[in-house]
Amino acid sequence: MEGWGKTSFAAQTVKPVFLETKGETGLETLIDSGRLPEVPHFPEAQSWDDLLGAIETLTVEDHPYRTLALDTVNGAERLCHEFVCERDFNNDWGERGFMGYMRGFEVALAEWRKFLNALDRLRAERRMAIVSLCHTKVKPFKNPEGADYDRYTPDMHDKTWGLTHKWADVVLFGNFEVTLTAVQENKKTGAARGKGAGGNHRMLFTERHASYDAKNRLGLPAEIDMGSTVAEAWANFMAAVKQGREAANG
Amino acid sequence: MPRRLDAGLSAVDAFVRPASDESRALMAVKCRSLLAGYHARWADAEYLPVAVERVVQSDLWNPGTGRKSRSFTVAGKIDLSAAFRDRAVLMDHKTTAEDISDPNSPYWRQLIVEGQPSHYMLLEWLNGRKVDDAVWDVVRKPTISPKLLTKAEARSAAVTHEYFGRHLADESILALNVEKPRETLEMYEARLAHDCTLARPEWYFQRRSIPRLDAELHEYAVELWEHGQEILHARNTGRHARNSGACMLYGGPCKFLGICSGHDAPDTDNWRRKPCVHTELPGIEGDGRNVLTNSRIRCFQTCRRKHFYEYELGIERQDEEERDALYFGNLWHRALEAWFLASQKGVLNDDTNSASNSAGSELAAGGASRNEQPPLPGCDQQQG
Repeated sequence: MEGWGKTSFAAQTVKPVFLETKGETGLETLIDSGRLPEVPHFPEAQSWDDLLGAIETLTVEDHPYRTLALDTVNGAERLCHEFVCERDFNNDWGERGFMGYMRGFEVALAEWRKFLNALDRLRAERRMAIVSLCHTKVKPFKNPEGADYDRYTPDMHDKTWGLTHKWADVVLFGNFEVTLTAVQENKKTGAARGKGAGGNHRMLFTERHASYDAKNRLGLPAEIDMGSTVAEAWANFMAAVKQGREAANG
Repeated sequence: MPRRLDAGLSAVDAFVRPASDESRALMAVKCRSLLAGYHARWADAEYLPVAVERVVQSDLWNPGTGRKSRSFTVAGKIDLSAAFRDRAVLMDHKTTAEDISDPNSPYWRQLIVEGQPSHYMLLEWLNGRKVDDAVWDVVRKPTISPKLLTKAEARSAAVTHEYFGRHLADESILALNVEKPRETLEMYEARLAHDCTLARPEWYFQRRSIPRLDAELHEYAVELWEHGQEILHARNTGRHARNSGACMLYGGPCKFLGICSGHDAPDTDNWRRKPCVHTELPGIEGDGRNVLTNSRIRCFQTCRRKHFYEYELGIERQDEEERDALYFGNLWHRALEAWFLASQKGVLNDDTNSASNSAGSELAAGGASRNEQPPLPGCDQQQG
């Protein structure tokens, strides 16, 4: 969710280093405005090679970092698609090239696997945690059991997201708590419309819901209250992780 | 001529006996032309060979319990282990009649679920060598054949003694003096070499990554274990179900169709026992019946009865002839083996990066350090 504080939240992780993709300038803005202290980060990755090169650097070179914060994974997908479009489709984004029969998305999955493999290697060889931030979009969901509805989905192609979702240990969805009042039904269309209230209290959701994707292998509670500051948000999250571990260990 | 190309061409000529029939001689010509195109396309590629045609073997582990199989081991032959920009990769050479120029063609899409890359990558991992990528090095078989020459083509060749840039031998020039001259093998070789070197190299040659996630390799390890259990069950019960849908695969009847249909029997003079059921794996100890390879798993998935004859009884026809497709595949492998070996040894690599040999040694050293990779989950050293 835009403005939820993804970047600030990721900056609370243990010894983080940020890897920003083209166009993602949130970290610098937060640092410049004094809302975040100086956080180590790579130069903005302008290409797929830049991105893979940065991961390789973290894998093979000495450094003090314990967490890679990728800002954002949908930006990384875009770099991947640009790379594949140039390599395999002569930079043709049209129907005769990348977009024809959606084949570019399919072809790019091999590159995406390489990227996930590189992250796996980073995690295995350097014991680094990987935190990937992602923008969302609202997308209609074809409901086979009733009326269709809208849901939040990652701002990525379904196939790339499918692979990424399967690969990740934890997928979290951050949103603001909103309550609806004075819900009224349109007599002609039957559509319900209410008045929103709240919308400034942050929550973190850890299990799949009709309106968003999430999953966790850490035994987290379904919802985590993020409190009123980013420090409180991180403390609450870590407490939930600890609780989940203790429950798993009996 | 570049020495690496020369090594490959010599291997082709050595494989095809001079007295070979016309069809085999034509295959040799195709192979020679393709090798010329292959060299033009890939000689400058950054793959630095480390090992060529290496047989790899490992214990079979149950990923669920971490116990080692008492019945089976796993094996395979890796066409090429190489370094690509300091990363360890394995390469498999393939020949196909399918379209490979479209990166989204069915040929490439099928490889997403293909077991062979997973099999090889898992094998390497189980041996402590974590491979970063598998690369499919594919050549599409030519569809053009020796043709009748037009009058203009025949006249031009007769005057210049050249055809597609190649100086013609007397035999070819004499062959032009007929009413309807046809390309000799020499002329056909020149035209095909031009086609795959200059006109349509992308149509003939493609290399693509077939990466696998660790989780996918783990999933394959589970499947491999389960196949082993199923083979063991079939062996213990003596039941080997037939799959009649597989009798006519690969463009002809299965070689065991006569036995399955009751017209023949494994103990007749038509059949003999193979000393090792994996003829493609030299150096495997024993008769190979307890070794799982990718080909064996695929055979078992295709038809359990065929698997029984091929890998349990281990029989082959006394008069078994190599099918053309298989022959061409073997010929191509032999050519590429020589082509890569020439650069690997550093003896014949005057046309390539002279650093290849040292880079290969570095990779080997790096490969040893990769032994520190965590083993497959569940694969500790228990005997069970």
